[in-house]
Amino acid sequence: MRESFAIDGSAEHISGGLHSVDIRAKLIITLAASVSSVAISGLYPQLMLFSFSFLYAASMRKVKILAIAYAFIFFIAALAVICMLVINMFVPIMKSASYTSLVIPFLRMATMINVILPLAFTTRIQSVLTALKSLRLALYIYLPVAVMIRFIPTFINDIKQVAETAKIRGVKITPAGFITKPVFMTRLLFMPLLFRSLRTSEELGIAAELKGLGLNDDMTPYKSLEWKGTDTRILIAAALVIVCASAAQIIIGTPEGMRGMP
Amino acid sequence: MLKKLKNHWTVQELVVIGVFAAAAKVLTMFVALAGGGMNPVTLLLKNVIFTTLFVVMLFKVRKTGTMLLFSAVTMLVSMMYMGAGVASLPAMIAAALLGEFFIFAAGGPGKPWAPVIGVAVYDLAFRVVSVFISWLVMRENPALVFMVMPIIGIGYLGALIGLFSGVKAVKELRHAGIVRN
Repeated sequence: MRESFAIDGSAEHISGGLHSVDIRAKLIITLAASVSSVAISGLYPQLMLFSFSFLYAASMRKVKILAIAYAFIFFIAALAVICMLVINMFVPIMKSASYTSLVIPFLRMATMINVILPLAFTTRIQSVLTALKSLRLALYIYLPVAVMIRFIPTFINDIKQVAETAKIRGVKITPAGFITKPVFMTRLLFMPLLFRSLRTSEELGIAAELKGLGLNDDMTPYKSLEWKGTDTRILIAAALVIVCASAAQIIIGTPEGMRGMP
Repeated sequence: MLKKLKNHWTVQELVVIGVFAAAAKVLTMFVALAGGGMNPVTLLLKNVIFTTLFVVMLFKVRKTGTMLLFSAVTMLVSMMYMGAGVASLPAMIAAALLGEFFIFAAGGPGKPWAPVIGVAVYDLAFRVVSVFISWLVMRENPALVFMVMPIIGIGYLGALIGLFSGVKAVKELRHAGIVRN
């Protein structure tokens, strides 16, 4: 099975750091960090969550990816400031909207990105599938997920083929075409792919049934997952950070200067 | 109950759900990239394509819970690939549950218009719950949530058009003998 497009082909050979952490630990950290960053609204607790999540992201040792992600966050933040400027200019009721109040939502976003990036860039799809299987997921969840992952590259190829066919017929699929002739372009691309999807699903469904898929629950995984002491320690550290941030939220809360913000 | 669920969908139907989830993901991504981000035309098209595929899939797999399973699978794969969609997971599940309820209320998935009603409710509920979640994340500065309302509106308009194109596509596929029931 092909690994994620988000992962460099050499990822398999990288060891140590977050690459050796169990996928289940990474999933728990991502979920816990996302929930706690939404629940917490104080500046200092958010800063605490952000700092530790940044250390977590930095340990994946992918400076370029992290730099791109932060450039994106700054771009969105700049866009938000411009939006605020427009709102303050044209909507008098929003006059009180403060620029400083943008800090916490963007800290939240940065924390989420800090935990999501290691999950995406240090994990192979095969490990994720094995983790799903180890969670004893039923066939009705596992099979569509496996089919979907397997068919994403196939559909990308199908789109290329349809685009080439259109080219032979004298129609070039370009971004401008989607704006000038949206209905025509969509039909040209969409209908062949719809028919192909249905045919593929019928063929694959028959093949799966002939191979006896779904009849036997005991499948041997290609690589089994191993929970190590490091995974437990990382989870304990993450839990401590969340507990400390929650305590800071209760004790300190929002600083005096930022209270009463809209 | 679990044993009943296990045999609820055939392997062929599960494969159809997986293939359509892949098709929806790739096609919407392709159109979004071709249009270059926040382009209203491609934003509209993206939603037309997603809803059309959703309607066709529900006509092909006419069983209770298909909408919920499709949403769960799409979200699971989105999370696996880029970790994206963690925040929209509750919105999608809530919308799918509501959609399933309306399909049930319309007489079950076997009725002619039930999948269309279900998708219409799903699209609306997903956007409403998403806005609520956005407000929850951006509650310190709710003005930003108002700024994205036109984008959400354009997306919903695309979803509404997708309902009609979905029904039209099903008619064509039925005529071709691909969608049989």
